[in-house]
Amino acid sequence: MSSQDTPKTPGATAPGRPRRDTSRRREALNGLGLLSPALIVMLSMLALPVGALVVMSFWTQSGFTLDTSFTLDNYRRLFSTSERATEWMGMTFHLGYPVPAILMIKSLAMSLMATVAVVLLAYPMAYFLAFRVKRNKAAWIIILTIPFWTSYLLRVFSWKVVLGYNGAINSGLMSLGLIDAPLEFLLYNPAAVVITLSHAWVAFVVLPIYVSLEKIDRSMLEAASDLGDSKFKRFRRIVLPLSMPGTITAALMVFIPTVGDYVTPQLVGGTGGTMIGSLVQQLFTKQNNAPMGAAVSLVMMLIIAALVLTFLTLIGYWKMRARSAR
Amino acid sequence: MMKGWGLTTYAVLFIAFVYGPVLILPLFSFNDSTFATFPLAGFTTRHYVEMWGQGPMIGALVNSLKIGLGVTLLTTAIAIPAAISITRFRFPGKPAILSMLMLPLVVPSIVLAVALLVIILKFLNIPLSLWTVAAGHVLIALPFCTSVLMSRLEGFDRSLEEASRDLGSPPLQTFWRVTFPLALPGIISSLLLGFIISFDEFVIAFFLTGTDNTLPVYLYSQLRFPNRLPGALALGSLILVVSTVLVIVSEIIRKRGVQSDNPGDF
Amino acid sequence: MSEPLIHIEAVTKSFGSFTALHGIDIDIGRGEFFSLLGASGCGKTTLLRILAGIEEPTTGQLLIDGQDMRGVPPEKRPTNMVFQSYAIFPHLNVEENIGYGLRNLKLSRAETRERIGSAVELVKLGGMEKRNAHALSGGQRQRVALARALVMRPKVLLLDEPLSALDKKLREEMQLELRAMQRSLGITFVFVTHDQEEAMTLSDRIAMMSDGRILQLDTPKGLYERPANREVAEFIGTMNLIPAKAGAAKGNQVSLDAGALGKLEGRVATDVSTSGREVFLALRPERISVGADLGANARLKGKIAEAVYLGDRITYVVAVNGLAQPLRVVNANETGEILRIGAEVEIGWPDDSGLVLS
Repeated sequence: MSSQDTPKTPGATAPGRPRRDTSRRREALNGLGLLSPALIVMLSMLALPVGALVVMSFWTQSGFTLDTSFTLDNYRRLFSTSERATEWMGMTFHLGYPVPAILMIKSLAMSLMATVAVVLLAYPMAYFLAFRVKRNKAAWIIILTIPFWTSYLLRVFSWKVVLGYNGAINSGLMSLGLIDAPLEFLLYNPAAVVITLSHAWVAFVVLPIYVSLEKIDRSMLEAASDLGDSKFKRFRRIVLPLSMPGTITAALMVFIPTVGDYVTPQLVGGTGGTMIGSLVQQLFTKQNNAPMGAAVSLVMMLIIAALVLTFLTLIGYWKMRARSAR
Repeated sequence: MMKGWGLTTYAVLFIAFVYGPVLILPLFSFNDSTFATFPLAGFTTRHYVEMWGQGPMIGALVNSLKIGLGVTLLTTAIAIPAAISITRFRFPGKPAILSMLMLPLVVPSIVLAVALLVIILKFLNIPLSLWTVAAGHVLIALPFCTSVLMSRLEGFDRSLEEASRDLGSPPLQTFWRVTFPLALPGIISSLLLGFIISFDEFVIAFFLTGTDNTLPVYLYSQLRFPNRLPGALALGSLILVVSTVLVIVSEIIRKRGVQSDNPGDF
Repeated sequence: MSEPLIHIEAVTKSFGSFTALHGIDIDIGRGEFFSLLGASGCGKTTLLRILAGIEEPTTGQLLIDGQDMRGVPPEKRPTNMVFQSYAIFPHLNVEENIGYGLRNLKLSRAETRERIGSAVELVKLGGMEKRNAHALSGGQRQRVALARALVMRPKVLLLDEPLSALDKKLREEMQLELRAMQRSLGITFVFVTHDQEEAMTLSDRIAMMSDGRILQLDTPKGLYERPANREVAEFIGTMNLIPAKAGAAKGNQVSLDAGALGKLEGRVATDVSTSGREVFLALRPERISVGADLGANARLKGKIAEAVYLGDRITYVVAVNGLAQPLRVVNANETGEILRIGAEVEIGWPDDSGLVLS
């Protein structure tokens, strides 16, 4: 990576003007030098493994033998059509291998629901923290930071305990005499997954939304009121648009990883609540078909990326961010 | 918006929602029953005693501590120069590099896990071990540690370092006399958070570990057996306490650092 | 100037596609109090940072005391700087801040202590040596920053708007103190400011900058009395500008055709021929007199649009027929009488007061 941005002024090297700006190049080299350990980590542990995953997705596995000759078979199989129709949730799939497609759609839908729930839950909290809390703000922030850092596995595990057949809700309701038999619909279904995901990720978005609200210049709000806006109008016309980029970024930080989540469906999803992450895990372990697993995870990432980019373009995210940066 | 009290009530409910389910774990871990059910059967610490007596648990704990310590030291050592470079140097392609550094934050961990799995097993033929787990943890801890350090470095006036140079201290000396002491709260924060990330992490450890378990992997293995639930509750509570204490310490250090270095802003 | 201490030649500085400095040439003498004056973004701070070595020029040459500064890092330059934010090290106390750079000079312990002591005394911070940086007021922080730089005994002291954060009274006090300090120490000061009054008060010479160029380099008196162009004239003090067309020149005097206002005359500062060009006749407000009847001195007629009583002086805004911009006039309050708003007046000025600017 060489620095090409140093302007080459004509005559800069001519006699009488002995200086050439080497300082910027030196600075760029020093900067990249300091970054190099991190870049090496990223290259060797992110770029190369993903590259390996790509290569692997063009291989095939049959039984215990891995065939390393290049083929598009895995992808072909993922997108192959079939006469046989598979029904799922009122949708008909004419696919030869419908499981990944169904799980993908299901994962996207569940993840989207969880993301919307998370943002709706977190926004008022962030608003409260930014505009209402005057004293002990640091304490509030710490209280909201702790769940962010507690083990994800434990947060999911706790819902298994709460919603389980012998769990806290069922036994609580039974001991209160409100129900006679445990409610079975609490655990092991998509709703349990969405609830658990919402809870597990809500702590991640309060702080980013809070930061984007906190950055809003208070005098701007006073100006809006001064110009006749009611509190609600002012919220809709000033606060909401200015905090939108931060909120969207936070929402994506939830949406993208949850589509591929593995722990939650595994612990609270049961058979009905499986998601695409579970399939990837199974392909790599039980089904012993790592090449197909690689293909599924790559297609999943591409679909997520395409959806996110389309979404951001549709809402004019970059323009929005440039505007509120001012 | 809602009236003041409405929003305050909401905030309290929100905190209850976030903490409630998690606090169920320590609650039932002291419950004198094999099931996590109401009504509570009475107070006991026997689950902790039993848990402590289990050899594999202690082994997993030691593994997690070793990995966490190694990961956080290495990651912070890599993140310090990276954060300095991003906050203090001008070079082309910085936004792209920064986005790449933050990429592990959004890529689902199962993708990171299988990608690492593939390259380690099929391309490099390295057997899975705690080393491979640690490598994966460095990758996911790096964006966190780097951003903590970046926000700390952005928090103090850049001209402090320029003043040091101006007063005769070359770059390395300037680092030790000015940058390091001022960034210290951020560095401690980074060390603690790097440790927590590794200590709590499950998916990557689950995929990349060999025969040795880390604590979350061990905990997960216990969840399959209903009669091991009390032990799992006790272990889970223990992990909760460790990360909570570390987070609080880290946050207090970070906040204090930020406050005291912006004196008399005008 | 025999041998300049600082020699800046054809210095340019670009940040990416933005050019902050276009070919700057300045020589600064030993013991001079030199100011870089201009609005924010004019390049004055960039030039100061180039002198300090924090930035390197894109092209051009910089000599300090005959030494080429190319590639010389800030820590090896005979310059020290007072930063705009003061950059007081927050983890060190007053004494440690002031002594920060001395450690790099490898002095004996006794000399270090002696130098810190006299620096503390110089900036009047006695008794505060152990005070933490957090506990200092703006003025005290400014003094620490000054002492921390002066204790290094630099050949050149660079000051980046050091007084802009202080309130007016403290600022005026510090101006006098700085000037006195500079005279007694004999160190060359290069001072960056956007405040023309401050620059005039302090400086031996001023480089007035705009858009990365020097508009005029002169003494305070020169800048005020002989501004090189319209921009300088308007930045330094107040200037009335009457548009006119230049006619024939007789020595320094040029006859002007001011349209409806008739024939006027003005003085040119430089030898450049202005004949036939659109120019301005520039008049300082205090050189203009107004009155009901000025007799033979009357040159224009107008009407008082605004009168402001300021005690020692009175300022008038006078609307003149055929002139878009009203004239601003400042008259010493000699009689205590003030002209009414709306009064018809005559306007006059001495022959040599009108300056022709392009």
